[in-house]
Amino acid sequence: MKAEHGSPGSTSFWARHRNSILVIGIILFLPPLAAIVQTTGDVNFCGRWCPRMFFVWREGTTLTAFLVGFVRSYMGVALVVGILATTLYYGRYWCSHLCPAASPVELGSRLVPSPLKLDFSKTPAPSFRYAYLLVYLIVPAIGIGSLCCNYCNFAAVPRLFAAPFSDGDVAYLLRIQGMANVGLLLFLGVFARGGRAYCNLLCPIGALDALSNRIGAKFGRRVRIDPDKCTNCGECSKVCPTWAIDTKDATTINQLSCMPCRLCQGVCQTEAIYYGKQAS
Amino acid sequence: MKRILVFLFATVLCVFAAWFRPGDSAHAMGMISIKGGKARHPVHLPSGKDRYTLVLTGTILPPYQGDARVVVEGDPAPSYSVYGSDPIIDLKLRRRPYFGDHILTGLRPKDRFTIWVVIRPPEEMTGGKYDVAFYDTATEKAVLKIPVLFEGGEGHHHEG
Repeated sequence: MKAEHGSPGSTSFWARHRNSILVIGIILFLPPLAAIVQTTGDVNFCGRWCPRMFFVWREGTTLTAFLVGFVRSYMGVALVVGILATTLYYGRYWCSHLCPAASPVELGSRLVPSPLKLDFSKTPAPSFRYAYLLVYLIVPAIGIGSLCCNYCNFAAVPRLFAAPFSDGDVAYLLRIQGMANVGLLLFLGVFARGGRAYCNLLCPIGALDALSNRIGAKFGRRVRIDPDKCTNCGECSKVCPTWAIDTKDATTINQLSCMPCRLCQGVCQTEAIYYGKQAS
Repeated sequence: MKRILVFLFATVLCVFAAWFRPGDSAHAMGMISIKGGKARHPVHLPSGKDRYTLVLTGTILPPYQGDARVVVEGDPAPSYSVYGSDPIIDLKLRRRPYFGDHILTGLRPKDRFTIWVVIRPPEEMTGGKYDVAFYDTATEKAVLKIPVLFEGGEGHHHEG
């Protein structure tokens, strides 16, 4: 078994420095610096960096126009392909450590006192998430409307950061749709236990990434539980931001929701939780 | 059973969310050219609101290059503001057109731009047409006009 056992004790760089990496992701991807997106002359994730729109087929779209969307958002395409490929082998590190749409929401949720937080953990997240993804993909194709752009965390979060400096971004937010996006980020993010309900329920990239995580679980590195060491105490379940851990009978991790934030590993007193390949 | 019910509930909720548009904003697209430009489609908005926000994205068709002033035209004259989308801390890693004082500066072929137009129609207006117009500052010729149509009724649906 190749694994990084630990914790409270994990010595993994990614586990120890997760908070710092979340902040670095914010600095690099979001205004006022947004250094990564400026490499292509952009100011935010809309346009070349859009990771959400290029794979959505709209009613009346020709094949050529659909493919042009891939060219227009070439950095978004590269980002999504990179995310899904790395997830296959290493798990959802983009979601847990780097995503600039999620990092500020999770960090913000830590500032909210626990009694004020909403607990969504009773919701079967995959059922909601893949209903959302299904509507996200099918509804534009039949011309009923669109979730893409209208409810976009990759548009709303950068503009929240830019709003103190830019009237254009204030204009984005001072619309009913802009306020709805901010409301969702607060309701399902900042005021949610763990700060990740938005990611877990309403992010199409997160939904695709979770599929990649599930598919690669057989051969890739994942957060796993050693049943011989696990006492089924349930402490890991309490800290899981994506409510991926089930302790009903034996403790199990749902790889369709898990991301390697390793918070569970940090609270496991028996070192039963590890990050690594499946035991042979 | 719970999973199936949640799936069905989420599907209905998401279809409604995708269908419903509040009608106080829209996305317009156009191409600037020396022949007067081309809007991809007119913008349709329900009348009766005191503030509308358009995000306007476009590209520059060769051989046009220059500076373009953005105005909103129509009768009765609306109150409006136009905002650009520029880096806050500009690292100057790539050349890009800039927006200031209602003018897109340094447009070159194949450039892309994004601006935000906030329109506040007069209270008495119940319908009508405005144009978001781009004029080349050197020749004062229109290089793009995007029609904005205000129509009666609430709950209008349009692509975003």
